[in-house]
Amino acid sequence: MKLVVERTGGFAGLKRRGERNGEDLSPEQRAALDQLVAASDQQKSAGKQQSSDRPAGPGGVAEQDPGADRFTYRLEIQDESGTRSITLPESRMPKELMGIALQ
Amino acid sequence: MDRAVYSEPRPCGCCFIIPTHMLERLSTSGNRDMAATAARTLRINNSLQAFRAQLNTGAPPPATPVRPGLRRQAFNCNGTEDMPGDLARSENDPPAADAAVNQAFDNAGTSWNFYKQIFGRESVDDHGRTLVSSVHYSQGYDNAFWNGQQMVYGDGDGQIFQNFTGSLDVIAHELTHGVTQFTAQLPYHDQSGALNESMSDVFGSMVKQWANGQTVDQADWLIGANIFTADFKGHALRDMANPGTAYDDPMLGKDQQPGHMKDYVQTQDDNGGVHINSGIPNKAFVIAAKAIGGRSWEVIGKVWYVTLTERLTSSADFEKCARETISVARDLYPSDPSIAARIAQAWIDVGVLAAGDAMVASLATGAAAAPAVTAAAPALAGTASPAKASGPKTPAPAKAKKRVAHHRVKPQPPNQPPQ
Repeated sequence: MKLVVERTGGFAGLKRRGERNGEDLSPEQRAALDQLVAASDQQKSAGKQQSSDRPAGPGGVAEQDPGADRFTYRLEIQDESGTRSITLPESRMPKELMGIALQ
Repeated sequence: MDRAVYSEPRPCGCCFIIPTHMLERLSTSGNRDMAATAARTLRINNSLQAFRAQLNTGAPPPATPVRPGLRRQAFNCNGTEDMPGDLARSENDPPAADAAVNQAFDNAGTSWNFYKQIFGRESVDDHGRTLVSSVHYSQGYDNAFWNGQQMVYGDGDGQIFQNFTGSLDVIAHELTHGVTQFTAQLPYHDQSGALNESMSDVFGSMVKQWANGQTVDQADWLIGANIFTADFKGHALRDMANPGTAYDDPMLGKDQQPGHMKDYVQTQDDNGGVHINSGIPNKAFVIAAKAIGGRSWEVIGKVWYVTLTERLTSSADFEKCARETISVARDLYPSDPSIAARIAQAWIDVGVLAAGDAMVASLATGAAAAPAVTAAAPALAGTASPAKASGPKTPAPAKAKKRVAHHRVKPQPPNQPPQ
């Protein structure tokens, strides 16, 4: 498994991107990731809009933090079953995983 | 704050039996009774929109008394994410021991003074709201943001970014997000989000120029020129006059900002590229500002301010903004049509308006105002008296109208002239 973490937005609008192999994740990082995936699955089964579905244009905006110039994180989890991505506002991004984007 | 300001899909402001665009058409129709009824309905619709907007932004009700005067508070998060942190300095306090506290405090004051002295605005909500800043947010945090209620500043990571509080244009940029939240409420994604960003850059740069007493030719038109470490390969974060040229750094890549609609960046990143596509309206502003000349806050700044605070709504895109700035320029400077014409040309230069556009053509021929602008006239009733004769570089605006409230209760002019 490979985890890619991208951070976009912020006042600077600069994109930062890093990746980590699954076996290199710390137990805390692994737990945080598992929790995010479980929450995303739950949302999906509840029929809610997936947080990764962010159609461009009005009316289809992904969850954002209030205000302006906040960071947005996108996690991409690649394994033999395929690739899934989860998009999160800064306030919901586990701190353990933030640093991966800054490699 | 728990309630998201921009994240919730807004209640549709157009859920009325007669669509707004039809009402707008009717309100300018030849039938006087029908026009009056339509205009009245529009006003009610717009009041409802204002009421709903108020729920979203926490804006004070229109009847709330304005508390005139500058009020600031600066807090210190001491490297934590506990907001707002410890109160470190309030209005009338002597300077604090911490430099970032004082920088955030002083630059917020300069920005407040700009809005007050140039536009008569009483703080971000025009009701005297206290300007709150928190500094030393989190650890190695390389960002500055507006959280829907206040300004928040990190210390930078020390590798790319230094602290953010020393830069006046950064602080005026963040404060302007507050102004936008309490006025046009431009949704923070795609074109409306890029306009939101551009407004923050435009007024951020204007505040810096005002504080330095610079003309449009002396201004550097840079955003974030002094927040980088020496290792960064670039001269700023954004170059409003030359979008796409601010930096080219091995680690961060190249500045992606376009300066023309043909290069508009379609992306899912950054809420649809709000910090990228802002380059287009930014460049339009600089082109128009340089064509008009003088000092940015004297003429074109007023046009942009009225556009932001009185004309744009949450549905605005680049074209809407372009048309409104032209319309506002005609209303504020009826004796000097060259101002509207230069603004129109700037929007053409960046590809937002076409050269053959009907509204632009009516400027060139000096024809009677197009219906779109006629409809806008009531919005500035009382300001239509001819401006005093003055030099072409700094014409006096038609008598500045002090809005009764920041809420938009006036009919909005239609976006397009009737076909």
